[in-house]
Amino acid sequence: MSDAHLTTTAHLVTTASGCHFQSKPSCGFPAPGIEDFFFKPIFTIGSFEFTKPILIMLLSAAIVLLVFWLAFRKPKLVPRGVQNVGELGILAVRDQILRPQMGSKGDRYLPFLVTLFFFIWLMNLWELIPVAQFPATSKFAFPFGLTLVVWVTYLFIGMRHQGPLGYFKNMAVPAGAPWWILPLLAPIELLSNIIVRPFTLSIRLFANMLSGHLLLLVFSVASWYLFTATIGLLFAAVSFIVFLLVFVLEVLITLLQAFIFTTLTAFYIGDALEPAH
Amino acid sequence: MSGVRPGPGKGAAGQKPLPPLKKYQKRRPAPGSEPPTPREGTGWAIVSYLIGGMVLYGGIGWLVGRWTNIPILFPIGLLLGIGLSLALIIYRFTRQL
Repeated sequence: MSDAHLTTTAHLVTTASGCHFQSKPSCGFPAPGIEDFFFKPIFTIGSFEFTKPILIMLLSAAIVLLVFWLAFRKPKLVPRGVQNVGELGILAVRDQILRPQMGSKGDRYLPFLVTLFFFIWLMNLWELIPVAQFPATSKFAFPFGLTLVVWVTYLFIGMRHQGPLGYFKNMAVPAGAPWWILPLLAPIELLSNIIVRPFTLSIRLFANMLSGHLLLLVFSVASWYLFTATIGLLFAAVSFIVFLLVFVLEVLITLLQAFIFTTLTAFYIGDALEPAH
Repeated sequence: MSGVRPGPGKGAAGQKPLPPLKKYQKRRPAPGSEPPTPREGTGWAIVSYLIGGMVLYGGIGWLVGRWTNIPILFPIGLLLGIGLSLALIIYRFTRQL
């Protein structure tokens, strides 16, 4: 029990202790909540607490690094083995994400987008892997940190390609708008491009992964809680089927969220490369 | 000129075909070329404009409403913000399609 306390949440420990529907003494349904997203630190260095999400993030980074290093350690003209997988991944990002947003002039930013896509996808995927069962991206700090990187990147690219002032001028002045409405529209443009964009980018990823993890928790815990030799068994079966369906949905969501995050990054960089149209 | 343009082959024999209507011709893409498809991020950019407009002018309306004790200024600001961001979206995105 004490080992379990180190990495799993308090709520899962209560569940595992044998709390069932109609058990004596009776116990209520241990509803999953926000406390399931806070972990006891695995170890601490001073005031720094090393927790499960950090471990998951480091593992994801290591795996992405390892796979692409193995794939392109000795690249051959005719790819074999891991190189096939690596090329497939890179080409998928280039043709599905980068090219539709930026055209071939954005190819310089392919390494950034490939890294971003696979890193996020992997951090999401841990949600579905037994034992880990937690998407690092459902802790707000991770999407926020990634968004900060994206934000600094596209602002920097914009200022370099259009000039520090020209970038903000092009951003603030929509083409074709009559002059008298500009003072009203320019603040919206600036607010939306500089504050709302990064904010929604991180919130979208964070909220999707949080709700996905919560859904999986609710239905798996309910399956276990209702698993008794009463009518509850029927409900347990239904709950388990829903759990499987949500699981399949989450397989899609993990990919989709990584895709949307990277697509929008490409869109923002594309906007920064050339004056708004 | 009557509003109706004869289709190809429908005009009476010998009658000169009408010159193309420049106003409409301009917008039409060259034959054989695909119409430009909107980029995928456009939808999300539109959402962020809507949020931006509401937050900015709703916020201004709310602040001024608190200051002057006229609470109706908050919803007025929200509506104004939505209207302005719609105008912005039209200027920014309908011209390039």
